[in-house]
Parts: sequence; C-alpha cells; structure tokens
Amino acid sequence: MRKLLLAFLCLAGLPALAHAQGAPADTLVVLRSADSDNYDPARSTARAAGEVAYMLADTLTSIDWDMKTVVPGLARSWTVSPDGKTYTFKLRDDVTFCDGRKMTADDVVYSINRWIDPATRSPVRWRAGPVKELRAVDPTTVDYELTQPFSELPYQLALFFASIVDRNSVEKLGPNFGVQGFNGTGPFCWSSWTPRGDLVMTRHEGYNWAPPIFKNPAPQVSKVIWRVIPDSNTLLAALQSGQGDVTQYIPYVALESLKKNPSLHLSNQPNYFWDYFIGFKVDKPVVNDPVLRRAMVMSVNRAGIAKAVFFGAGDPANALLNPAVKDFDPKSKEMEPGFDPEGAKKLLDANGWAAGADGVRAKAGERASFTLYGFNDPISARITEAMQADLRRVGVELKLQLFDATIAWGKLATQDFGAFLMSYPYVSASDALNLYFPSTNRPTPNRMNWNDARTDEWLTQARTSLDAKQREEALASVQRQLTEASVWIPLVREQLWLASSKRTQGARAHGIYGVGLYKGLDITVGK
Amino acid sequence: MRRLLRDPVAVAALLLTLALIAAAIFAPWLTHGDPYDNDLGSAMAPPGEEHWLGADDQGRDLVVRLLYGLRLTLLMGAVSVAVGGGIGTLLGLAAAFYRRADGTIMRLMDVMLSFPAILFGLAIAAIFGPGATAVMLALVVATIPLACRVARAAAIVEMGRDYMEAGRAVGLGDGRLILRHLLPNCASSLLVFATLRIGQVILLGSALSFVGLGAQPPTAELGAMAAQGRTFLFFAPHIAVVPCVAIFVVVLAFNVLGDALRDALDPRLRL
Amino acid sequence: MARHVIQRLLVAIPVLFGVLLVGFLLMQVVPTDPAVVRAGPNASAELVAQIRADLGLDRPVAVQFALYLARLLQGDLGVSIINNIQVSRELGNTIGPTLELMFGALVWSIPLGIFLGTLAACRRGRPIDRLVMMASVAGVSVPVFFVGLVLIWFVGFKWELLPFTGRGGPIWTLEGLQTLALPALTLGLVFVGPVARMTRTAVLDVLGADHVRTARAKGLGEFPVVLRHALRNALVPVVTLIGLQIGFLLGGAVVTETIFSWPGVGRLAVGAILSNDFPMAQGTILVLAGGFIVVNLAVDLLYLVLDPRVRA
Repeated sequence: MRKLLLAFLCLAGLPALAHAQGAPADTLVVLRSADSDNYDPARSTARAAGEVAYMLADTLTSIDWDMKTVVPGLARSWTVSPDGKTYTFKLRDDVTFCDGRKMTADDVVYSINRWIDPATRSPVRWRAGPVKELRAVDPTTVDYELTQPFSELPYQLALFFASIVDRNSVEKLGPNFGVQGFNGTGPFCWSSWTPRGDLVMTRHEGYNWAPPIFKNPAPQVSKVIWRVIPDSNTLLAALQSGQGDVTQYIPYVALESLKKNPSLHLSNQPNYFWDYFIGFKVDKPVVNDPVLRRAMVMSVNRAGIAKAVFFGAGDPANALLNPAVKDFDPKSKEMEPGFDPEGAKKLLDANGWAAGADGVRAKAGERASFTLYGFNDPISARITEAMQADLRRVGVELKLQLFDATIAWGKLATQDFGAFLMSYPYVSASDALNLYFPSTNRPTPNRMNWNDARTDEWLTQARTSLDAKQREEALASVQRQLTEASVWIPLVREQLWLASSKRTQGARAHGIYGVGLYKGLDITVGK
Repeated sequence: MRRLLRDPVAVAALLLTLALIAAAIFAPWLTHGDPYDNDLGSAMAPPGEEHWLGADDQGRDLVVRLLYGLRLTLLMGAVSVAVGGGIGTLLGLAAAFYRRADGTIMRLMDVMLSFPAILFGLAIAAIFGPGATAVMLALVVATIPLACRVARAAAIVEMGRDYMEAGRAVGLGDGRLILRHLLPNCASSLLVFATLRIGQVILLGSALSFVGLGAQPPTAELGAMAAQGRTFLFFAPHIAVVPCVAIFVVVLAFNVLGDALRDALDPRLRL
Repeated sequence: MARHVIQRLLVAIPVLFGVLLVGFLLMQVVPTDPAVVRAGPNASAELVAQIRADLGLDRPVAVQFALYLARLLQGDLGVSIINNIQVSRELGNTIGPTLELMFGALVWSIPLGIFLGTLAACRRGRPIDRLVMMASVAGVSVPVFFVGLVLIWFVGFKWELLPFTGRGGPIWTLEGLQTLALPALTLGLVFVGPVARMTRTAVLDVLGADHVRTARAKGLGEFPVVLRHALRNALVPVVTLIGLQIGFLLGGAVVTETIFSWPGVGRLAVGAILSNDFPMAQGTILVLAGGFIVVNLAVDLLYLVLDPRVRA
C-alpha cells in the first residue's frame, strides 16, 4: 500500500517528498477548533474571540495564575471609596496603541461606555456593574462610579469584554471593527483575518506593560497565527507533526497518549472553572415537577460520562459549583444526590409517575418526555447521547435537538424546550449565580425561568455587600436552595490542558474565561 | 439472466446483496442486543470475545449497531431510489412520449442537475432540520433528474419501434400505452440504473452524514456511525472502520451487481 | 457551428435563472428569521423589525427576488448577516482554493483514468482488464472521507511525507503545492474509477466501429489504431462524463475541504447554510451551481472540437 501511494505521488509529479514542513521560525502557530464571528470584544462573548482579544488588547486589571488574585493591568492601582460605589483607577502613562497613539483615560472611558451602551447590545454588559458614570479625571485617572456597590468589579474588568480599544479605529471601521481591522494596546497587533482560516497578528513593538504575572513584559515571538482546524483528528496530527505549536483544543481521547509523547509539553491549570450542566425550564410541562427533576439527577451517570466522553480530562460534577471556587458552600455538595437509578425509579413510582406501555412514564396523562436543546459540538453530542440512554432506562424520554453554534444562541433564547445543555466559565460563586439565577436575567441567561424573590434578595446581597461573611452566607443559601430544587444537573467539570510542541518554550495554561493561552507572553519558539 | 448466472463475480455480488438485505430485514431476530442501550464502562472496547467487532464510544456493541445501521441505511437507499426513480421515470417517459413537453421537462431536469446533491442536502436540512428524512428527501431530489434522463433515453429508442405505432393505431390511450407498453420495455435500463443508483445514494448519504446533516445520534445508521466514529479514528479505529467497511461492502455489492446486470441486460447503457 | 454555440448559450440562460430562483426560494422557506439571527439573542422586537426593514425582508417575496437579481447584476451579492463581510469578498477568497483543489484532483486523475481505461480496453478480458475494472469499482464504492482520513493518518502523520492542514499558499508556491497534495490526492482517487470505466466503454465501442476495423485491416498496429482513432473518438463521452461528474466532484470537495481544513467554497457553503447566513448561502449556491453550468457549457463546446459529426 505504501509503495503504491508513493508511486501515486511520484506519478502526479508532486515535489518535496521531504518531511512535512513545520511552521516558520519566530512564528507561533496556535491551533483551535472554531473561529469567532467577529473580534470586537464588546460584541462577542465567544471563547474564540476572547483568546484573540487578550492578545490584541489589554484590560484595566488582570487575574493571577491562582484564578483568585486580581493584579494590575493597564491600571497601575485602584482604590475604592468607603461606600463601595466609586472605584478610582490610576493608569499607566507609558501605553500606546498599535498605531502609535498614546492611551489615556479618555480611551478607557470611551471603551467601557461603548461596551455598556445599549446600542452595542452586549449580552454581558451587566458584568460592568450598575454604572452611574465614568469620568476621566486626568489623563491617567479614571473614576468609575456605580449606583450600588459591586464587589466583583475588579475581577469583571479583567474579562476581555472590558478591553480598551481605540476610538478612531472603531469609528473608522464601523461594523467592520474586529472584522477587517483592530487597534488595541495588546502585545500583538492585527494583521489579517480569513474567517474560518487564519488570524494573523504581529508583535507590538515597544510593548512592555504586561500584567505582572509574566516574567518578561514584552512579547518574544514576532508573529502569531491562530489557525482553525475543525476536525479533531487533523488538529491532533498537526500538533504532533509540528505543523502547529500550541493548542488547548486537545481531543480528550488523546490526552493520555499526549502526556507520554516526549516531543510535546503539557501544561495544566488546576484552578480552572468551566462546567457542563443541564438546566431545566422550571415552568415547562413535566420538567416543572421537582420530583421528576430530582429523579433525573439521580439517573444520570456523571462518572460514566466523565470517563467515556472526557477520558479522564473532566471530573464528574457532584455539586452545583466547583468546590474549589470562591464562596463555595460545602453543604450544597452533601445535598446533591448521587448516581442511583434504582432510587430514581422508586422515587418516580412513589410519586405517581407510572411506567407506560412504550416504556415512558406518565403522570396525570402527561408523558415524561421533553426536548433538550444544545450545541452540536462533538462533546455535547456525546454527553446528551449518553444521558438519553441513562434516562431511557428509568422511563424518561429525552428528545435531542442540537444546533450549530451560530444558531444555538438564538434557539436557546426561546421558550420551545424543556432543558438545555451548556458549558460556561466562571471564577466565583457570585459570578456564576448572578449570571444565571436573577429573575431579571430571564429569558437569557436565566434560561431556567427561575423566578424566586428570596434568590433575588440573596444575590443582590452578595453583589452589593461589603462584608465578606455576609456575602458568603447569602451565596450559600442560594446554592442550597437551587440544589434542593434540582434546577440543574451539574455534569462534568472540564480540565484545562495546554499542549505545546518541542520548539515552543514557556506556554502556560491560564484559563481566564476558558482562554488557555492568555496574552501569549513568556513564549519563545525555536527551530 | 442466464448470462448473469454464469459470471462467478456477478453471482457472488448477487448472493452478497441478498445476504445484506436479509441481514437488514431480520436484524431484530439475529441479535438480542439493543442498539440504543449504552454501557459506558465498556466504551471503545476493542474487538474481542465480548464484543466481536468491539464497542463504540458509548459502549454499544458494534455488531448490533451494524445490523440495525445496515437496516436503516439500506432502507434509506431503497426508499429514495424507489421514490426518486419512480418520479424521474414518469417524467422521462412523459418527455419521450409528449415531444412538446420534452424541452420544458429536460430544462427543469438541467436546473435540478445544476445543484450538486450535497447542496440539496444542506438546503433541505436547513429547512426541515438535519435527519434521516432530510437526507432521503435530498437523495430523492438528486435521483429524479438522473432517472428521468435514463428513462427518456430508453423510451426514445422504444418510441420508434413498431409496437408503439401499432398500439397507437389500435387506439390505445396514452396512459395505457406508456405504462403497459413503453415502461416494461425500458425496465432493463431502469433496473440497471436503480441497482447502481442505490450504491451511489448510500455513498452520498454517508457524505451528508459526515457533514452533520444525516441521521442524528443516537440513530444507528452506517453513515452517521462512521461520522461519529471518525473522532476516534486514531485511538479506537474500529468504531469508524467497521461502518466504513460496511458502507464500502454494501456499495461495492450493488455496483458489481449493477455492472453485471448491465452487461447481461443492456450492454449499450452508459451509467 | 456559430449557430450551435449561440443556441447552447441561449438554453443556458433559463437554466441559470431557474438556479437563481430555486436558490433564492430554498432560502425563503428556511424557518429561521435572518433578522432574528442578526439581531442576536437579546434583541428587542423593535430592533428585529428595524433590521428586517433594513434587510428588505418585510417586502413581498417577488420584490425581494427582483431586488436580489438587480443587485446581482451590479455584482452586489450582499453582506454576511453573521459577520458583515461582503459575500463577494468571501467568495473571491474561497473560489481560488476550490479551483486549485479541483485542478489538483483532475490533473492527475483524468490522465490516469484515461490511461487505465484505454489499457483495459486494449486488453479486454485479460487479467489487467479485470484488475483495472475491479479497482475502479472499488474506487467508486469507497467513502471520500475514509480515503482522506487514511491518507492523513499514513502519509501525513505516520510517515510525515506531506502536510495536511489548511492551505500554505497559492498553487505556484512550494508550500501551496505541498498542502494541496493530499486533498488533491483524496479527491482525485475517487475520480479515477469513473473516468477509467467510461474510457474503457467508449474505447471498446469505437474499437468495434467500422473505420477502426478498417484501419486494423489495413495492418496498422494495435497501439496506433487505439491512439489515432479509438481514443480520439472515445474522448467525447469521456468529456461529457467529466462535465456531469463536476457535481459529484463538488460533493467530494465539500467533504475533502472539511477534512483538510481547505479554505474553499464548499466549506464556506456548509458553514453558511448551517448558520443560516442567507446572503452567503445564496452566494455559494450561485457560484457552485453557476460553475457547474459553465463547465457543462464548456464541455458541450468542446464536443464540437472533438466530434466532427456534431460540427457538421
């Protein structure tokens, strides 16, 4: 066979039967599986947008490798007023945009205002807090005034949505900002983008204002290419054969063999919070029954899914939130039922869910059957398939509808489904719960339609309280309440692994908003 | 027919095709397994005593999945060729019979042929949502113009024959003339076409599945199984290789049989 | 001859119009509202209505189609509703790579197919004929993606002979040629079979024809006969087949482009349709179907050159 193929190659007159060419020297080729629709930080919430935005632009604050400590970014320091409502940021005075213009307080005010402007339609503008006004006091001082205290603010401003961008570039490019061009203060500058292909960026000469978590504040590679390879086998083979230098999109099935591969280096971030969960619409037929929901939590084999779908690169989620996260409530973990399909059957039997002729249970004429919406990526597909079989065994019928990412968000904003599968990044209990459970966040991101006055009160307390103890208690109450109501089936906690080729030194997994390769600093590529 | 049975390759293809069809029909009796019941513990188990052909990524036995997959794949192929071929044949016969309609029908067919089948698949999946039905519909649409051309070509030859003139002279109605006289005389061409087309349609269907528009998980369908298994090609190759080989064998059987049928029935037919 | 050409061109116009109409209508029946897609999940009803008005979606379908055609004539294919990129720009970026892929696949598979088909015909019934026919039947029975994945695994990965991701550059550069090799090999492999079969049948037909028999009787050797008379006449049906198979080739190209991350129209079309990017989907359909029509036109015209009977 091999000879035949070689003969074919020669026949076709194909040149260069030498080794497959690696990436050019001094260029870092980053491999990933999906592209973003655009790279305007205020208009996209995709991880694919974030990983690029962090390299093209900077944020006022940054997060340390421990995923807890907020460290300076473009802001050298900041102070909070005693009432917790006004943050004063002192900016660096040595920062320039890629086009050479100096960055000042006006740029910060412009960028944040643009992000939270309703016309920008950012789905995550709540992350900026209840803003009253931003003021440029002098070229290096910004007053960030809120209507209510928001203790999470310094963390939230480290997310890429709050990237500082150049007003002239935004106004010149209009809707093509982040599509045909970009001007930021980041370690790399926009060069070109072919959608679903390569995004190329070049070193920002003179950049030396990196967050203090890096050893060298200046970028060391002269060019970065973000290359999209949708097929996981191809991506894997490209990495192993040196056609790419670094990726976080390792097919899980390959992780163990990659760990043993001497020509690759793997970096793991233990402080990583990215969870897969099932959410139920608590006011939709059949899934509005807490007993049925609880029985489903008991029926799903989370350990089995973690093993069969994630191949050990994910941990079964046995609590609403990750136990390592800030303000996690250990009691809520004890309240979460474990894998017990027999117990689930008994629970359903005892509560009037009788098995029907077709194997699906029914109660008061309603069949235990509902539709689940999700994304049609391979992981979601395999999770839901496994779940479907698990639920079928206890007499619950799960109908699956998975959508392409571009449509899925719109579909998930409707009321046409009973449950959904999603995964999300978070950094603290307050961050996660304040995203999904305030009644004001219906229909998205509160797709559960969870509407509870006590929850709202606790969450407000958690956001605005200046007392750490009080905040912790309020968040604990919410975690217990939600666990008891089985609003979610927490499924699997993803792990973050960054694989890099032999010629690449210094790639370390960060994990902010799921982004493994944060800023691309401290990285060198050899031959 | 006798000529067909003298060719050992053709006989082998015929027997293989019949065996595959029988296996598909009797799948539920050939195995007691459930193609949809998972066992995450034995996920990706290699071929061995417990699972002859191994287990897939959800720990489902591949022999069971293969039999049920074969069932659906063959059904999809047969239905789309039967429906598409039926419609196409009628159009083709009409085009040959009513010369005035010929231009219109054939231009319509040209338009249909201008859409590669894969684009039909994409568009139809966008309208009705991905699934086995969408694939079948796309394959039906893609089969119509081809069947129409074959039927028309065969019928035009027949139109010149004496019996058609004779039938007309006796005052037979158009419908009767077309269905009772014209159609049977084009049957050999159409049989060859249908046999070869089933193979092509199964290949096309698997390509549509590969792009994510085919039968959706957890449905056991060969194309979908191959598409799902390809993620693990380098680690558990059997998951993708088993359905891929099955597709290959099925398509090969139909193609060889079709070739043999053509040589025996209608050597001038070019397909 | 000129009359024939004009006639053929006139026939192509309604076909092209039909293609445009069907492509337009297909996108009309899709249940997802492009305005909603564009507005994003958190948009208000007023915003959606405004976007609908901006996109002209609130007008009657016939008007929309007329406007679409008018814009098309001006070369304006609209902009993507997902990322605002001009459709014509995206198409311009992707047509080249797809043509390269097709060219790379055909440039070796057609000569090889014709060679094998002729060889089989000359040695009819001998082992070499059987072998070629068996190989070609196997070739048309194997799924494209299986071929592609096997090639990636062995040629690309295990033996590290050739790269297999993306496109290194234009075809005239070394990188471009290297990255093109495996996709072109994959797509070409499924094309050799049909070409070989068709050539064999056509050559056999011609070998039985009178003038060839005469030539043989005149004592000309087998090879010159085949070359001078048989192959030349056999090329007509072969060329037709190749024209017809362009659609099949496009299907293969979509799959091949997906496996090899090849930035072509096929991959663009799949993405656009899956994400309900209507203008982009329409544009890709227009290009793919239009390309098919043009190729078939070219094939018809080539007929005239190759086949003296049509010329007369």
